[in-house]
Amino acid sequence: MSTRLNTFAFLLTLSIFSLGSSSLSSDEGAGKAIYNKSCASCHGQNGEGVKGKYKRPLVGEMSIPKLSRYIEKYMPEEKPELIQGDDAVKVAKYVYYEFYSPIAQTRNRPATIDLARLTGVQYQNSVSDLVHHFRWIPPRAKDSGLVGEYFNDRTPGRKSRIKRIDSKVRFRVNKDQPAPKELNPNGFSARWQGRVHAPKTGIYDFIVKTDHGMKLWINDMREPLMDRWVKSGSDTSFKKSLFLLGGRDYSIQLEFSAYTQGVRNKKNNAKPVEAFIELWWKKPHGALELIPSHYLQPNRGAEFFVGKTTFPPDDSSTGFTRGTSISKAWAEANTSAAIEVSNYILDHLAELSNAKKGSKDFKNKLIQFAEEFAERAFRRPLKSVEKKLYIAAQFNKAPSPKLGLKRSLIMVLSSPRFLYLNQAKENASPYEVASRLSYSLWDSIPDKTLLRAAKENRLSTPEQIKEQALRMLKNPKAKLKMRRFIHHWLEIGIRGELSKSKKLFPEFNDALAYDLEESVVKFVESVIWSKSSNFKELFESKSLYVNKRIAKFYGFPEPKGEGFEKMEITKGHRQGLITQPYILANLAYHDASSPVHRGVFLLRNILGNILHPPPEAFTPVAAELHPKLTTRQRLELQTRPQFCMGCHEKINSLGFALESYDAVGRHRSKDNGSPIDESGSYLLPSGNQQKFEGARSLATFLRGHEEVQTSFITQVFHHLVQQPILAYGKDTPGEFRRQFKNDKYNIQKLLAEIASRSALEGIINFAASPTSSGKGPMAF
Amino acid sequence: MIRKRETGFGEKSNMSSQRTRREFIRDMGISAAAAPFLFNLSSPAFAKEVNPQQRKRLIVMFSPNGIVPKNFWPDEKGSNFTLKESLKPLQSLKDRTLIIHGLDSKIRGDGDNHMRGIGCLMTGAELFPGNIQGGSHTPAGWSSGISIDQEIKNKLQKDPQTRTRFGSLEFGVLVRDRADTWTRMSYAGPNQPIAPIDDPYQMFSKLYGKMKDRESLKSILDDLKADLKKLRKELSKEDQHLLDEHAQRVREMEKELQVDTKLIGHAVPELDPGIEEKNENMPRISKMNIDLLVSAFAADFARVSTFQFTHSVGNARMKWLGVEEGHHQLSHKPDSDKDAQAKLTRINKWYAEQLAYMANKLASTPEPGGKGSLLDNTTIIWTNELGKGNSHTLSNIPFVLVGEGLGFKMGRSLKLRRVPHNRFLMSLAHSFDHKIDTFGNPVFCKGGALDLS
Repeated sequence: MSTRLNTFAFLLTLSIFSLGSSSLSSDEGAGKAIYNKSCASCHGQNGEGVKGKYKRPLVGEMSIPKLSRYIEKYMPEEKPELIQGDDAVKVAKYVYYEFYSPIAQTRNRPATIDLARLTGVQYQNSVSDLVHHFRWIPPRAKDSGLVGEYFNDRTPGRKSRIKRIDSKVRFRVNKDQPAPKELNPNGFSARWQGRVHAPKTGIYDFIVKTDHGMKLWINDMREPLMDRWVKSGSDTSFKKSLFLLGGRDYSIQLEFSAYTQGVRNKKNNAKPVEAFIELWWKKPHGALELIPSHYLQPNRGAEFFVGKTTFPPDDSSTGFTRGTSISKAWAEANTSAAIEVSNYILDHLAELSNAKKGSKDFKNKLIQFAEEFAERAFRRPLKSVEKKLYIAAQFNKAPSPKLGLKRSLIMVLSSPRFLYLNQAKENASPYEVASRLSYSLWDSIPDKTLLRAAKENRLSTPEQIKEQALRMLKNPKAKLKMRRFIHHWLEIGIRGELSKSKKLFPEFNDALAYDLEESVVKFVESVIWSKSSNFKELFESKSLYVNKRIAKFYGFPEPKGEGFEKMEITKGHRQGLITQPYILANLAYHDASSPVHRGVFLLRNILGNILHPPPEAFTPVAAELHPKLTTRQRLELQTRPQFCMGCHEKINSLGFALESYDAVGRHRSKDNGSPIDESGSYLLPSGNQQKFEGARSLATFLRGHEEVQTSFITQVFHHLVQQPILAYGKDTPGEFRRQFKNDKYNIQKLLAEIASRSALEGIINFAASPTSSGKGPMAF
Repeated sequence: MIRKRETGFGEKSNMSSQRTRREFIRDMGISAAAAPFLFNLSSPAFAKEVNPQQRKRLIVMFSPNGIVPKNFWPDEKGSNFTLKESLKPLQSLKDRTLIIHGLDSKIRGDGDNHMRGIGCLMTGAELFPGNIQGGSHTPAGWSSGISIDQEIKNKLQKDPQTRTRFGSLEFGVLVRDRADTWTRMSYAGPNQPIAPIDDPYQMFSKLYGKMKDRESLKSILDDLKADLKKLRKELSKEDQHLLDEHAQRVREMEKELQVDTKLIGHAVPELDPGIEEKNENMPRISKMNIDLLVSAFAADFARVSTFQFTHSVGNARMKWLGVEEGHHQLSHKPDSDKDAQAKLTRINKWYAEQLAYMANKLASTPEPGGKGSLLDNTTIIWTNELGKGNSHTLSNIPFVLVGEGLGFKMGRSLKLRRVPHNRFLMSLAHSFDHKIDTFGNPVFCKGGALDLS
């Protein structure tokens, strides 16, 4: 066996967080001696690695029992039988406590809370909310749908013949469906208006289907997104794409005229017209559909600023996105964006600043606006030196007040005081607490309520902060941030479009793939945002969100309505997240199931183990080579070599438990003609083997297993705070887990807990958390 | 300020795959405006070009409602001719002028003559059936073809040797904020009308906005650097590196901003502030936009331009000429109405003055990096929607050319007989070495491009 592969296998390690002392016990003393004799030549005196032998540091997450077994079986590579029994345990203990375990790593190289700049997402949200601070947000309407007004004139005017709420825009008049009696059958026009909700950030396609003239406005009411008032040629379907930030309700207006335009000519309107108009969309990763009524509301609101500047991707090498470097591309993007925002503000100046050109107080109004803008951007009141530098100096040097404002805005948006978050500062002010809170839950600047709480010094105890956090969780921005977490956690969309073999699954199309994605997100969201918000539901629930397309493909009962319906699915032994069709289909090949993908997902994303990538990429053994074998048997054959089994023993035995589901996540009882073997197992941190038989027993195990909770907590923490959790103290994950248990596994409370804990860093001394980052004071 | 933009007919329905945001922005053509933009203001061809003397430019100037033939067309043909009243302002440019009489628009189909007059003028193709009803005939929509200015622009933009920042610029003067068949002359393709920009401030911001942004940015960099320095002192050592990186980026940006307006190669025009878009400001707006056009050509921002006065059926009231009635209204008066004939002659003379101003301005601007003037490498074509207002004829449509850009033989009056104007449009493309066999409706391209050399 090749040396390289064998040594590499040592790295493919799995384990959990646990606690332990770092002083050397007698066992470890003996372990040290064995290590120095048999291991150090390859791994280095302190596990730092040896060039030319085994150069990677000896770090990982196996528990001591796991590590001992590993050593017994595989180490040293030339002579695995050398270290056995007690000796293996001793070496394992020594290695574990000295440098191998996460705790030892923390101790040796303490994780720190680094100064970070806003990520691309945070920047986009912040500037949009900054501009919107000067505008009015209408309350959410009770009704869904749009206001539809119908006119006998050839353009929609003021006096409508009919005014009603239309749940969707789908209007048709022909021989079989005559025009409503209030309307002139020979010619009429209509207008629909209200708001449309963008559930996520991305590119939306809007499609209007009509055989007559129309204009469509979205967000920007000054300039139509589509102007097809001139009907020309025979096309009846018109599309335009628009980038929208998620979590916001955008004004929408659609006008329509079933008349000829131009010079009035009675001939053209001498007989009843036939006319239709429909408003469709395609959400990012969504199927083409009539815009459903629950995305529409009948009242209009102010425009949102949506920046067009593209930011380079942020660093996510540590498993979560964070802004810890300033690249040239980022600096350019941020400068472009600053100019874009300032130009937008100047273009909407009268509306935003209330300053009238030519009036006496024009300049003062602009200065006032600049000050308020800077305060909101810096998320705190300005100091007098800042007022001087960022406001007064810019206005004084500029040839006109408008240019002064422009310079001030560019200056504020280029300032590190806007661009950076200091999450580690000791003795942070209540404003800094507010900032940390709003970026962790919203990825954006604090709102007025939060700033008021800061001003009134109501952000100093965990209770006060948690109260704010729970309030903030109700905001669509929090839902949006968690939606991104769901995508990240469940690997939604990371492999690109979900597509399957056309030969084997001819009915599996893009529309179905998008439905499945929506279905699993709806499922997780329904758990998170339910009243009990119980984490365990994610592994216990037998519910699925099903629409007609999904029902037909999977043979589920058909829902009554057009949209998704939550239903209990008793067939197919499904239970919890891991048997959601999207998850199963996403973790599979286009023509076959993949226990490896499923196993790796369960190990990494659900159980929180660290897996290093395989030494080289392997192609699965082609089914044709072994026409009689099942998928499971082929995989067992291929990963039989010892150097594979270091990892694949764990991977396979988890993935096998889901073998009852094929490449598209349909339940099956046979694979390649043979009955399914869905038995699997998992090596617990205690060293015991947990066995399960199929999806339900696996889900039931995951439901109560602590590693699953710790892993979830850690991942949520990283997504919210964007700093390493261990930088907040070595037992922070444990503290959260115990609190999670006390809170009956309530996810919303966990989110509030995380936001609160990270917001108070350096302010309140948490008993169990010795400060791990020696930061000096910083005047942000 | 009224903002106009393409009315958005660009995209055919394509419901297939998802695009990335980057691709989306690229497809939308807004990358130039939004993506890192600060450091590329000049045209790609500017630096690469071998011989500036070979630059070719085209301007199409439009005015509405036909002309008064007896006061417009020279009686003679050949190089020995006398300019009639309407064309008198071209006297000093006579040697550089080519007057072509006898070109007809043969395009029929939907739409009235005004609509086809402007909509088929540069496209040589029929209008689509649609919902715009004219004064007579059937209702129609947009043109079914690309216009020749855009055809030539596309050809130039494909070649790095001739590619410019904008390719083409579409100017207007009091076009009015209404998108229909009567207000659009330029087409990027079938059903893709291009809105001309008539607001000089909007055009200024399109041409020079980025440069102004650069100036604003440059003005704050010193203050920003000072604040970065101050903040650095307040940070822990570990965190200082991020600020150092940041400061480094700011310094880089400063350097690149130094490589400044030199590339633009000329002074930015100063606009009189606060000129409103209204009838009596028409002469001022005309001048402002002509100045902007010439400066944009001097900077090589584009090599093709249209310049559209009002629109088809335009009803400008040229009070400054002593004409109280609207132009379209007057154009319907019979030939026997001497007063109307005199006023219409005066109106067209005013347009000829605009042409002369434009030509003289080009003639007095040196060709950057080359010999001679811009006019040596530019041809202006002044044309109209109709041959004559009161008959609405599409025969004998005016085509008056000034300048040597296209290599035509100038200083003459050319008399043709019923030649489809498609053949003339083809000869424009051929002058740009774009040897197309047909343009617009091929039926009217028999005989090929007109030889005007």
